[in-house]
Amino acid sequence: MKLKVLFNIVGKILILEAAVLLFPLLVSIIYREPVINKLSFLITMGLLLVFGFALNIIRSKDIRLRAREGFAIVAISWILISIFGALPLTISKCIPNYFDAIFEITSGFTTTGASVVTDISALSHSMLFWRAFSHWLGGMGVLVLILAFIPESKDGSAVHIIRAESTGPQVGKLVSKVKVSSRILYIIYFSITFIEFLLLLVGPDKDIKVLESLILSFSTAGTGGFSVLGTSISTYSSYTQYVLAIFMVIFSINFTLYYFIIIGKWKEALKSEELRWYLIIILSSIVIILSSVYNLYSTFEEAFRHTFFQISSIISTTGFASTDFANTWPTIAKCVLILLMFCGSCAGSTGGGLKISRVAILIKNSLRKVQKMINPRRTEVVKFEKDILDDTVVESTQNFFIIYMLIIASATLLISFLNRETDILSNFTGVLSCISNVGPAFGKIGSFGDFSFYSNFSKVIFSIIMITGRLEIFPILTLFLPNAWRKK
Amino acid sequence: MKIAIIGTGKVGRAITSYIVNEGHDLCIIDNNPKVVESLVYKYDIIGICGNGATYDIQKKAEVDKSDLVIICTSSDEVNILAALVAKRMGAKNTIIRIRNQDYYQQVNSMKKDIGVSMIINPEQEAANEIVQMIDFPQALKIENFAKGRINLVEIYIGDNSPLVNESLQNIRQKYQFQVLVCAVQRGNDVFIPKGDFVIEAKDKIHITASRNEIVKFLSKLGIIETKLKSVMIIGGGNISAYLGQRLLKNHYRVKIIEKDEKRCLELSELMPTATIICGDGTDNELLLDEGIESTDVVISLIGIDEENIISSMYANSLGVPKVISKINRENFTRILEENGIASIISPKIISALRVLSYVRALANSRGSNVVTLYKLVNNEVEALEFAVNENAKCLDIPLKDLKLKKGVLIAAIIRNNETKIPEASDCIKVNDSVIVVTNNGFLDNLDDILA
Repeated sequence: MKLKVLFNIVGKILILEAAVLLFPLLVSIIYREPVINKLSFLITMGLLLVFGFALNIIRSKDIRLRAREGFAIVAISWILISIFGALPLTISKCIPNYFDAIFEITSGFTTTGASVVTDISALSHSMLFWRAFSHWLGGMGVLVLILAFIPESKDGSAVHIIRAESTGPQVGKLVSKVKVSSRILYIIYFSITFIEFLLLLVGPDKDIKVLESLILSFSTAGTGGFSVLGTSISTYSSYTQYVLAIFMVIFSINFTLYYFIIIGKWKEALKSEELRWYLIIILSSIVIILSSVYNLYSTFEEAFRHTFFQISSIISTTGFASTDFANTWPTIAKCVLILLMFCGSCAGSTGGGLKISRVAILIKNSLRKVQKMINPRRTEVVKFEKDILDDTVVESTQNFFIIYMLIIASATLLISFLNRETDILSNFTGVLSCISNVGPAFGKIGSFGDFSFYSNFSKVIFSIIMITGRLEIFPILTLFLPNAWRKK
Repeated sequence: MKIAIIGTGKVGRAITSYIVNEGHDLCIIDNNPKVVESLVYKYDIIGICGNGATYDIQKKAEVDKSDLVIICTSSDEVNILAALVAKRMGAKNTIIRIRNQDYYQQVNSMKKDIGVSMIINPEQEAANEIVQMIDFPQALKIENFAKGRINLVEIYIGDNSPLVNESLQNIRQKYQFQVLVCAVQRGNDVFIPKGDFVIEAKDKIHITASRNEIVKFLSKLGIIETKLKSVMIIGGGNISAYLGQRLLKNHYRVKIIEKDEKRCLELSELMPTATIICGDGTDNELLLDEGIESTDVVISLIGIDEENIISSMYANSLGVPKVISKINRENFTRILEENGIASIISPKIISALRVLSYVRALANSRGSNVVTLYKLVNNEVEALEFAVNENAKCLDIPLKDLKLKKGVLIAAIIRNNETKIPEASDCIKVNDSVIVVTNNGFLDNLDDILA
């Protein structure tokens, strides 16, 4: 492990975090919040700058990164930004328990949206903003942001960082330079967020003003799920609910497709196999759930709206709730939602979960294997997105799936061991919700993603699971592999 | 600039590594997924796996929008086809590799039809370079500027050299040479020396001067020039064929050792006056039998680096005056050069440098263009030849009044076919060729030398 480069880049990340804390600070000043809030941001920024510059001083001649450095840099950065990002919440006494604060902000950066705050309305404006803003930053990736703006390195080693932070089995660049690529992504991301912000602002809801629509847009954009109210989205108008539902789907689609649309390759974007799988899954889920919940609501429109909203919210791994689905919906609807939590959104989006492309690859490959069992001499290639699937891709996808399942299993065991009172449904769906970065779950946790009843230690474990899920396991695993840290 | 490279074998990879460093947008195409993957991880580029001679793949690589397409797959036919497709697509400039001698002539005469702006033939260029080395055996390395009017020569300073502990100013006054020391390598450090620089033993100095001046300089130094007469070439590949023919024309005695019997017959047909030996060139007894001890030059051109190194070391140990070895992997060259065992020739680097000078000239459309470019001392120093045009900013200003960047040296001015080692009062004029040596970043325009 080349520690010097690692420290240097981690230092840059901390400085960046200090810079982005200016935004909540600004909110705090605009809303004339008590001094302690402003102070909490200033103290955190000071600490970040001290540590950041101290690490950034370390320079190394050899700046070429290998895969392991890329993984380690991303994993360590994410852990550190969560640890530091929690400070304002604790210092301002909004969330006095530091473990709670860590859970909350990790849930923010990993775009999970699970919360330990029972009374959200008690949070100050700046803290609400900071939670949602962390969604926005974490959605596209903090390091991608850094890569878009630090001076470009000539070799391709930045690819390793992008790969470690981006979602999906195969990570490609849009254009030949990493830097330009990350910039394009951020510009697309910013633009769509801005459109959503405007649409929410002009909506009929009186209590959605500039700050509220900013928070909701950030939450949707990162597919996070932190809202302004304890009741999530359920009290808003149907207009707002539709806007959010549609934008949740938009943000959970591979951003490469938007780039194709921008450069005029409409057809290629629409031909995307992953997109088709995604839309088919959404449509069939709507049919199943709608058929089971239509009698719960007074009008068909309302039933459709909640069904669509909830499916879009879960599959995009956002985790907004327009209705208390966890307690009122029938089992079949809940089952579909749990399955959607597993599969998650498209690769290359801001969403979490296993990713549609992985699910598609696994299913296609398994079907081929079944065919082969019946007719052993049959030769057939698996194609995905018009390309022949390489065995290594299939293998690494299977590998990912197995480790994903193993982590869910062992985390559920561990959480159940630590919380003997809680029922299995809460523990299992809680873990699933965290690793897929969804937020809400079933049982005690419920539609609004309330994890407050778990012990401090469990919250730390949930936080680690969230980061593991967001970074797609391997970066975090790297930290625990002694081999990766050896000098040679 | 947007550049596409089709075919990333040895030459393609060398070109890739040079071009990436200049910050161009690069897209590589190769049909081997492993190669594409490894390059994409190594450099900040886009890689496409597929047949580069097809329309679809070239479209995917946006060849139609590229400023330059470099085609260097291993097959000449594929290269020509790819060039035609690229031309049809509207590629602005195309560089193509042709190895087969017959095709070379053909393509050269049809440049316009195929839409090719430059042809590279790594083997032939390597052969040319070897001929120069043999002509100038005292030099570790020799590079040409201005069509050979001026040379850049690398010389090793031995312990007994009269130059040791002399400053460059003194040397100039003492010997009155028209030569310029433009770069000095000492251990792992490189210096672009000024007048007060003192030379030490074991330095490697790079000097520029016209050919005659260098000969005078070397004989004054006591490095006696013996005319080499007999050449032994180990390995009978393409380079050997090119080289053998050139050497025979210059009346050298040529002996080629080749393993493959069929190839031996071909070579003998090609060069009836050469002695073609069928046998293993790494077998020391065979080499002794064939009189390696009394040979003046041993050139090892086997396809495997390791075998070349072994034969070169063996030849060196027998006291052969000049040993030249073909090495493709750059990290190996250090071992041989540092111990003074052999001069190194690397076909892929020669070609990559030619392409690079073309790229620099293309990148700089307004100012004074790069004509030739060499990389010295492990790529840390560059020597460039610029053709000065009327837009240059440094025209008609005495050199002493020019504010040059650090680490930049004007090594020679060529005016009306006359070479001049510049002095403080000289000026650069339109239509001159100027040779600049620098270790400070890369230049694509003569104006870049100004601070």
